[in-house]
This record gives sequence, C-alpha cells and structure tokens, in this order.
Amino acid sequence: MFKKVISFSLIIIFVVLLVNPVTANAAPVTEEQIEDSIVKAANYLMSLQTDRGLWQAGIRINPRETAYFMVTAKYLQIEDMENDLQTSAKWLLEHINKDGGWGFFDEGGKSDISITAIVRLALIVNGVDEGCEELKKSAVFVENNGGIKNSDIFCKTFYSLFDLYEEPWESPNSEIFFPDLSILYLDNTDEHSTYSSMAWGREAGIAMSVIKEYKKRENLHIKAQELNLAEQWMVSHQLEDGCWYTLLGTCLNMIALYEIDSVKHAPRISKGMKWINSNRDPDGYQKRFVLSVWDTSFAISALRKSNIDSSAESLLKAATWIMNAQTQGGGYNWSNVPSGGWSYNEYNILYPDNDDTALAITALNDLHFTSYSTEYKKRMAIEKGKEWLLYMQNDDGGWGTFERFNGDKDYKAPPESTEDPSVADVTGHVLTALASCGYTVDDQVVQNCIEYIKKDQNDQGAWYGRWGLCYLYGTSCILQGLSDIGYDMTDEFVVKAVDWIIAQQNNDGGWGEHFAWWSEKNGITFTKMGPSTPEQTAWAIMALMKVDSDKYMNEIEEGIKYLIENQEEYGGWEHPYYTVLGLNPYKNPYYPHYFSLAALSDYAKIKGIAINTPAENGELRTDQETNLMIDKFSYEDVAEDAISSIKKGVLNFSFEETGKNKFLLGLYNNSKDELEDVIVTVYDESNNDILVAYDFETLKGEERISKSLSFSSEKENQKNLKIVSTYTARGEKREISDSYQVTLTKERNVDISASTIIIIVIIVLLCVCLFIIFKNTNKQLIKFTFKNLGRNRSRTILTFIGIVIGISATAGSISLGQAFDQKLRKDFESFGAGRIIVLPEKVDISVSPPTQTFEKSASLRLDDDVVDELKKIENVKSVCPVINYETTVTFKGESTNCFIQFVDLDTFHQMTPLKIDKGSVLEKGDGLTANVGYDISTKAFSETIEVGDKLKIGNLEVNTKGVFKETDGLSGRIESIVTPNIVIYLPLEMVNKFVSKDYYDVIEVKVIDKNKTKATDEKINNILEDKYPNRIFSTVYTEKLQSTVSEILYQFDLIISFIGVFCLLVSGIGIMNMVIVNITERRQEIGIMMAVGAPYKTIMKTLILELTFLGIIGGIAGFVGGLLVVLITQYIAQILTVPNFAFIFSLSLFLGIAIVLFFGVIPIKKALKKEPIEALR
Amino acid sequence: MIIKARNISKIYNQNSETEFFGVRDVSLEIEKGELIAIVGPSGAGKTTLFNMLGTLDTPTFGQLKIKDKNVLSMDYNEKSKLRNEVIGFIFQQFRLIPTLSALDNALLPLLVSESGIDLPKKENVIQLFHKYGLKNQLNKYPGKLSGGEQQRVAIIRALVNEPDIILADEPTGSLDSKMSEFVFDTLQQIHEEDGKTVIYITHNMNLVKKASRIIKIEDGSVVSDETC
Repeated sequence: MFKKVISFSLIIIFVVLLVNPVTANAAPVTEEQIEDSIVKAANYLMSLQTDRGLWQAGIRINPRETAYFMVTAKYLQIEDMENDLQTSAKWLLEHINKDGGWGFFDEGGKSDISITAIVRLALIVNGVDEGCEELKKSAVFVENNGGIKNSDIFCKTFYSLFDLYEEPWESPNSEIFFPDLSILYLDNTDEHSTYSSMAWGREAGIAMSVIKEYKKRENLHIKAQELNLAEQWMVSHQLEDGCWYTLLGTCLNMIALYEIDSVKHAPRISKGMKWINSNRDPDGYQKRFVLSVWDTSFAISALRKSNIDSSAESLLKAATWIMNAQTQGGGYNWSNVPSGGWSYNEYNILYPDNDDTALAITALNDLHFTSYSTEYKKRMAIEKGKEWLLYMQNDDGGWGTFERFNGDKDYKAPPESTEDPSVADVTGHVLTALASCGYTVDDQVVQNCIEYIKKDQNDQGAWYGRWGLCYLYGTSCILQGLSDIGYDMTDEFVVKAVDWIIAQQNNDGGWGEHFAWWSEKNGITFTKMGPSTPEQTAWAIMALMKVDSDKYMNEIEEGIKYLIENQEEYGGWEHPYYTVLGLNPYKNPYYPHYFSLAALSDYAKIKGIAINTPAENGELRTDQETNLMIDKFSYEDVAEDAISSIKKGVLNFSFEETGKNKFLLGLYNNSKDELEDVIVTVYDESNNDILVAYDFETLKGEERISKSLSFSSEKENQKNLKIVSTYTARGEKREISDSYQVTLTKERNVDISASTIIIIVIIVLLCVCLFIIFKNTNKQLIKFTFKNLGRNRSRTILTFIGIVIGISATAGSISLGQAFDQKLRKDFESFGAGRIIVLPEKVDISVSPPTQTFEKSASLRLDDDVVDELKKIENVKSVCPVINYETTVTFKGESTNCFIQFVDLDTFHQMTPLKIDKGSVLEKGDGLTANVGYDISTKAFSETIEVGDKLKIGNLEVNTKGVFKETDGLSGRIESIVTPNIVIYLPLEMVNKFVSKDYYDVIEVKVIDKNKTKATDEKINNILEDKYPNRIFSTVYTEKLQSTVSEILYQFDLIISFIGVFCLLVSGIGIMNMVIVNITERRQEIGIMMAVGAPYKTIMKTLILELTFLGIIGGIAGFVGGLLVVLITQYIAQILTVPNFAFIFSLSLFLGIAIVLFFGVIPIKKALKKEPIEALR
Repeated sequence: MIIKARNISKIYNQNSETEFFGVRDVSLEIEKGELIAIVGPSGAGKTTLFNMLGTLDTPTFGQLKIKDKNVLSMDYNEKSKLRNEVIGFIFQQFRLIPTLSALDNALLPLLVSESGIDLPKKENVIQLFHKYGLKNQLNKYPGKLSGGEQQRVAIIRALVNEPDIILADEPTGSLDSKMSEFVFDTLQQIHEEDGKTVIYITHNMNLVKKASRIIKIEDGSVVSDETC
C-alpha cells in the first residue's frame, strides 16, 4: 500500500513535470527585477550623456575607413602624421582575419576583397614591409578572390592614385561614381542632376570625376569650365567641421582639391584632415561619422519612457542641443526644400534627413520646457521639422532618406546604393513623429503613406529596413509607426507582419538578425536570422506591445526576460554583433542601451509597474524668464513730460494710466550692453516706501519691469515718486547713481478739438473788436439801433431766417462730416495706438492696385525667431505672440462657436487696448482662466457671463477671470484682425490643451514712442523681409488702417467737405443778400443819417451793431438748427456718435458773426461811399 | 458871408455821350440872415445847386466855402460835421425815418452829433414840438402823421442843432395850400426870429414873393439874382 502511494505520487509528479515544463524551466520576471533593470539602465544611459548634453556613440564600422585615412594622408603628404599612421597600421595588422583579409567587421567573419585590397594599399603605401606575414597572407586572399579588379570602384580609384591600377573608370557599373561633370549645369530637380543620387554618392561622385579628369590629363583645358564648377561645388560643400559628409567623401574631396591646386586649397585640406584626426580613436581606428542627433533623440525617447520627468534638466539640456542642431537653410537637397530638417549631427547643415528629423521631433514632443519661451521655441522647431517632413513625402506615400522624388522615378528594379527611394524604417519613424504632432490615420498624408507601406511589405510579411539590420528593424519601425498613428492593428497585413516577427523569435526569447552579404550594386544587405541581440529583441517586443500586448504577452515576456538576463551589472548591454546599417553594417554600442531601456519601460507601463527613476527627481530647470510682470494693467498718456525728462538717462520709464486711480510704471533698461549691475529702486516720496526694486543684471539685462501703482483715493490727485537707478557703465569702475523725481498727476480730459479752439479764439477776437468799436458809443445810439430793429419786424425776421438757415446748413453739414470723421477715427483708435500687428498673410486693404505681382513662396512662419527679431528692433516695447483658435463654447447649456486667442501673458496687458470692466486681467500662473470680450459676455449667450462663471471651451472647463469693457468702433473680424469684443482670451501656455499649433497666427508689437510707429513699422518690414526673403507677411497699425480707410473714404470726405464749403457759400451769399436787401431798403435812412450829419463811423456802428445782434441771435438759432440736422441725420444713418456740441455751437456763432459781418460790411461800405444825395434819391 | 460859391459846376455822366451840366459856372455869395428863394423851371438845376450848397453833393469843379471853410477839401466826416452843425435840411418828401417816433426823428441830428442828446436839449426839442403844435404827436410814428405834421417834425429836426443855414427843397411841394402856408410861415418865423439864413426852392409864386432875394436858374445857370 505504501509503495503504491509512493509510486503514484512519483507518477503524478512526473506527469506534472512533463505536462508543465515551463514552471520548472524558468521563474517569471518579477516587478522588482523590471524596476531594478530599468533604473540601472536609465542611470547608465544618463551617465553616457556628454557635458554638452548630447549622446554620441563611438561607431565601429570596418577597417576600410582606417585604410582610407591612411591612403589619403599619404597621398596628400600630410606632415607630422607618422605616429598616427603607424598606430593605424598597427591596428590594421593586428585585426587581420584568419582567412588572410579584412572584412565587414572589426574582427572576425569573412573577409571582403574590396576591404582587404584597400587595407593592403594603405599598409603598402605607408611603408609596411610587403614581406610581412599579414601582407603576404592578404596578397594571397586578394589573388584568390580575383584580384584588385574585383574590388569596389573606390578601392580601384585609390590604387590608381598610386599608379597601381589603371583606368578604374572603365570598370563595369562605375558610371554612377564618375558622373559627367556637365551635370553640374543641370537644375537640382533634373532627373540626371547630381541631386538625383543619394547624398553620400553625390559628395563622392563629383570628387571622383575630378580625380578621374586629373588622372587622365586629357582635355583638361576643354573641361576647364566644368572643373571650375566642380571646384566651387566641392569648396562649398565642405561642412563647418571640415568634413564632406562621410569619411570617404572627405578623403576623395581632399584629394580632388589637392589635384586641382594643392596650395590654394591647403587650408581646406588641413581642415578636412583635422576632422579626420578628431574622429579617430587613440588605437588608430578611424570612424566614419558621428551620429549625435540620432543617438541623442533615441536616448531622450528611451529615458522619457523610463518615467524621467519631461522637464528633467538633463533631458532639456539634450533637447536644447537638438533644437540648436536643427538645420536652418534648406540644405543641399533636391530643391527648394523648406528649412527645418535635422541631419545626423550638428555640423552637417547641408544634408538634413527624414530619419533624424522624425526622431528629433518625436524626442522633442516628449519633453516640456518649463520656460515658456524655450518651450515655444521647441514647438516652433518641431513645427518647422514637421513641415519639412510633410514636404519630403515621396509621391508613392513613403519617405526616403535625404530626398523627395516625384512619381517619375521608378524603383521597381532594385535601386542602386546611391539611390534614395522610400524606405520602410524611415517611413515608420516619420509616422511616429507625425503622430506625436497630432496627426492621425485620417489625415491624407497618412493615408497615402499606408498605401506605400502595404506595397513595400515583402512576401513574408516583413519590411526591409535600410538603416538597421534589417527586416526586424524595418518591420518594427513600420508596426510602431502604424500603431502610433492609430491604424487598425488587426488589419490582415499587420497580422501577417506580426506572425513573421513571432516566427523569428529565438529559443532564448530574443531576436537576432545578422549580416550575410552585401550587394555592391544594389546597396542591399542580405541577412539571416541568428543569435539574439538586445536591440533587435527590443525592436520586436516594442512592436508586439504596440500591436496587441495581451495577445502576444508570452512572446513579449520571453523577450523581456532575455533583456533582463543579458543586462550587465552596470546597467547596459553588450554584444559583438553589428546591427546597424550605414550602407555597410556597423555597430552602435549605444543601441542595446537605449532600445532595451525603451522596451523594458514600455513593458513596465503595460504592466502598471511604477518606476521611481532616481533621475526623475533631478533638478528641474529654473526658469529665469518667468513672470516679470507684477501687474497686468495697461495704457498710456499720464506723464508724457516725465518720460521725456527721464529719457536722457540710460533707463526708460513709462507711465500708463490703468484705471481710475491706477497707473502702471514701466522701467526699461535701454542700454543693456553699456550698463552693468543696474539696480532700480522706486520710492513713494510721501512715505518713503519702496514701491519696486529691480536688479536688471539678474534678468540678463534684457527685460522691462513694471509695477502697478495706485492713488490711495479719489481725492489724491498727485503722487510723487523718486526713482533711483544705480549702475556701472561698462568699462568704468565707478558706480553711478541717478535719481529722478516724478510727479504723476491725474489728468482730466476735456474733449475740445483744435478746430473748436481756433473758432472760439476767432469769436473772442471778433468780440474784442466789436467791444473796441462800441466802447465809446453812447447808449442812445444803441437804444436807437434796437428800437429800429424792433420796429421793422418783417425785415428783421427775414434777415434772421436767412441767417439761421445758412448757419444751420453750414454748421450741420460740417459737423456731420466731422462726426463721420470722428467716428471713423474712433473706430480705429479702438485698435490701439502704437500697436503694430504682424500677420503671416497679405492683408491688402489699400485701394490702389497691388504693385508687386510676383508670387512669394510661402507665408512667414511666425515663430520665436520672428518674435526675437522683433524684440531686437529699436522702439519696440513688447512683443505679444497670439494664437487664434475657434471652437464651441458652452455656457449654461448653450453652445456657440467663439473666437479664441491665446495670448502671451507677459505682454498681453500691454497690448490690449481693452480696459477691464469686471474682475481682473489674466496673469501668469492663473492656469485655465479666461478674459472675455464685451460682446461675448453680453451677447453671445442669453445670460450674461460674469466673473467667476465657468465656460466650457472645447472639452475643458475654463474659469472667467475678467470681463472687458466694450471697445468702440468696428465689430467683427477682417482676416486675422479681430475686434476684441468678440474674443475670449486664454493664456498661451494653455494652447496645447486645445490645439496642437506650434506657430503663432499673429504677433502684436507695442512701440515705446507712439509717434515713431510708422518708422518702427518700416523697420519691422525691412528686417523681416531681410531675414525671411520671399515670405508673405504684412503689418497693420492704427495709422495705416486709418490712412487706408480714409483713402477709401476720400471721396466721401471730399463730398462732405464740398457740401460744407457749398453750404458756407450759399449761406454766405444768402446772408449777404439779406444784408444787401436790408441796406438797400434803408438807403433812404442812411441818406437821412448822412444828411443830418451822422459821421461815417456812427452809421457804420449802428448798422454793424444791428447785424451783429442778428448774427449772434441767428448763430444761436443756427446752432439749434445745425444740431437738429446732425441728430436727424445720425438718427437716420444709425450712427451713435455724440455730436460735438462745443464745435457746433462755436461754429454757428462764428458763422453768425463772421459771415454776417463779412458779407454785411461790403454793401454797407458800398452804400456809404456814395454821396449822401445818391442815398437820398 | 456865410456861403460863397465861385464857378461851381456839376457835370453828370461825365466822359460819356450823355454828359451834361446840371449846374454850370454858378457863382453866389450869400450873407447871413438872407431869405433866398431859388426858382426856375423843372430840370433847371435848382436841386443840384441846392444839394451842392448843402454839401449833399460835391461840385465837379469850382469853389465852395461855407462859413469860410472850403467844403471841397473836406473829408466825409468834416462834411458830416458841417451838415450836422451848420445846415438844417427840409425836403419835399419830409425824409423822416419811418421806424422812429416823431421825437426820435427830430432828435436824430443830436443823436449822431458829437455831444449827443442831453436832457436840456431834449427839453428844447419837446418845447419846439409844443411851439409847432405837435405836442400830441411826440411819440407818433411818421406814418401816423399828416403831411403838414411830418414836415413840421422835419423842420424841428432841421432846427435842433440850431444851424446857421436852413436849406429847404420845395418844403411845401407835397402839401395842400393851407398847410403850405403854415409851413412856410414857420420857415419865415425861423428866419425872422432866429436870424437864420434860409434858402428854399419853390414853384409857389406866393412863397417866392416872400423872399428877400430871388435867384432864378435856367439850364444850370443863374439867369437873374435879385434882391427885393
């Protein structure tokens, strides 16, 4: 019985073991292990960051580069290279393969005829004894493999330099590397131009052809012009660090320039040599290139996945470096490429490529700068990069590496290694980058791309990756890209690809794909599956996790296990395999680190494992630019005098009235370059309180400061300030202290226009004249006059009516014209004085036909660069970038579409001509709060929006912080110019919560001296035209608007003034007529007066007195009449401008007196000139 | 000699085809206190002469002295002063200002004079109104007065500044015979009582007879100058 039990137990145990071998086989990876692994890997990767913030792996490719260096240095007879050459020779000799040659790897593997041949050349020309073991063995290897004629074209060319091989250009299939130099005449976009070949081939090809011509030494004089072009091309293509794209390119170009003129080009050659030297390891191993943008981007993405804070200082440092590495020009690409791509390192400004651009964008989108302006810069960099990528999409929907091609190019045949068709790995990376910019599968770009992807998939379901080994890489890139962009990952072709990946998994849980052989002609690497490598495992499982982590969890976990088991103690991974392609396979020692880290971190995220990366708590960037504004009020005109008196100093001050009892004090350090240690202190004189103290030096001397101050009460009319600025002028040791006394006085505005004042002055003068005339007149005469007036009622009334009608018409029409003018002016004043708006579009509001007819290529991208440019311009006070957005806003259940502007809060309050009505203006750090325009508050919804009300903008709840007063003037919007009344203002920092927009729609500029607005506008235009030639933009400011509008209304104005003058004339003649009738009618009276001996003056006086009286009374009546005319017209025309009473009144009175006198005195004088008897007759 | 005219002429429409002499080379010497009637057919130049003597018109050439002052060299205001102080006019059409009351009309010369109206002068004028039987017409407007009354107001107006010379151009031309007599009596009274020089134009032979000197004018020239 006992035996039975035991045997049964054994059987059960055996069966269990048999049925479930896995449990016995491996313990599952624990969360702790994952976390530990990730922390270690992240820490290690962080430790690899250079002081400048970037990652730059030491690439190992093959001995060929070392040989190139040695051959070139020898041929160019570079001095003082003996030691270096010997070190390199030693390295080569030590790394010979067992088969007697050198191959695609540093050591081991099969040898390659081309590599062996060039290494042999390098050793031989540098004086290594041909009898030595290595050279003997390699000679045999070369012989066995067909001799030098079987080596590649570069090898042969180098041999020919030393006359060891003849006419390499006669080799089969070599035309592509010896292009006819006449292609340099071709347009970039020509199918046969040098731009149709890939960057590296192009850089090598031109030099090769030059070398060929100089070797042949035939027809050099005939080809002089072409050679000259080639020379120019080569000179201009040397990068800043001295290299020509790659090591091979550098060697060939140096040789070609040397052939042309070794003396003239000596500086270029030595610069190139310097680059070569700087890229050689101490052991003599020569590197082909450094890929710092590439490495840094991958490192950032991996570290971000490992849960390091998006604002961690080290990452931001790296991101800043990447941003600076963005190419600014279009590069020597196909043609007219927009600027904004990234190349693989910071010096390579000529060849931005899609792959690096996509990676840089993805990495940058992962990070968030705490400094607003840097964050903005970053977004603009991304935006530019994105535009570049969109431009670079090939017509087949995919992305190539360096160029974009139209559909004419047929790549059905296997491409040459110098050709640049769409490739899967780049396309996958671009999709990921576009996804990080907010693109989805619904976008047309992506749709086109998917077409390409489907077409490019091979029979097995995989994609060929050109820049990594190889199918695993391509397939992983594509699958990740598709998933990121939101493609349906259950699609048949995706499943096929996944099946392929899964089928390639090794027993150890990892994946491995390895170099088999290289097709020289097609530039295609043939691979076979083999031992697992961490990065390839990472590629596979990252793709699987993106496709369906649940379904493929088994495979994923096996891969994770492989990664963890193979992690070194220090946190990194090591393996001997070459997993990258740069035409030839190469090894990037950082690949296992960052890809493994990324894969592990992805897994941790899926599993919900919280990673507390130590680096997460690394110092956050402190933001020195934040929030200089202490208060947010704006506007002007308080103490113009005070400003001008202070201007002589090195600091500028401004005062802006910001409310009934408030004003804003602004301080500007105008001469940042001249001053050091500027400290400004502002005291309130009454109690010696320090109102504001600022140290410009800590602000890097670049900023303004401002402080809102207030009068303590309504009654307080004055405030005395003492402003003390202490500074040291540059170059001087002595400290200087300036102090200014400023008195601010509240201003009471009386709205009297200049014309009104002039008229009043004239009236006063007339009255004075009249007073002088009548000063000595006896009262009886005056009485007599009035008696006379009163007696002849009908005559008086008729004259009076004539006067009143004349005055009414004149005053009415003139003041009506004035009212229209004022209304217009007011309309545009609401736009704000001293405010210039920069728009990335042509706003053509002028009536004259456009003078320029040529088409500019693209709109000016309003980014931080533009903002910075604008800031630099003299007389610019502040620059406020604005992003426009339109979305549905819901308030108390009602929804409507509203216009939203995201504004830079640093400068917003200075920009807006609005005055706050309720609540307060947005401030930095408010978060999601809004200021709303008057119309939005009162008219947009059936209920009025009050401060504190919640608005639902898009999907987000926003608190109303303030409501603006209504601005007068035009309502609505013309293109990007919007009336503030209909705008909801939100902080610019919040923009990414709503919309992914990385450029500004509008930049508002505020000037210091409003009188120089026009000059500043011109300057802005000139500078922007200069910096961004052929970009469409326009600027708008009040006076420009006014002048264009008044241009439009010129005819209207003309008619109005014509009517005014006409009325004046008609009424003048009417009045004169009445006066003449009056005078004629009383000729007898005048005659009697004369007869009874009245002196000239007396008659004159009585008549003038009479007329003046009529004029004054008529003027007053005319005022009423004119006012009625204005009011009635305004009522009909629905214009709600308050008539200028003072103007109409003074004008009427002026017309009454002046016209009556002017037109009355003439007939009187005429009558008086006659003999009395004629008057009597 | 209060008025001395030598060779005064008045040419109308000078330098044109219709040029003619209104008065031609008239020389007169008039002593203070004379009562002179100027007679002659219509269009003979009586009124032209009258106007020139009263400085209402300026001779085209010749010399005219009033109270030894050369009228032709006087400016507007000097002539006005002269008329105001030395000459009182009485016209056939009365020439009262219709918008002024009788009194105001009478006061007009005073009003426009340098000294102006003072109370005693005004009293004086009112006295004259009484004297000429117009005490009830003081504040009446000319339109409400009869022709004789109007002419008497005009006479008062001519007298208020106590001039040396009274010039009357057909003072009774617009009046009926009864009223004519009354008005002329008044003139004669002024001449006799105040010793003023009165020069009058008339067609009324009865009135001509009462003159102390009769100047007859035909075609612009003095054809007879008789002192009775």
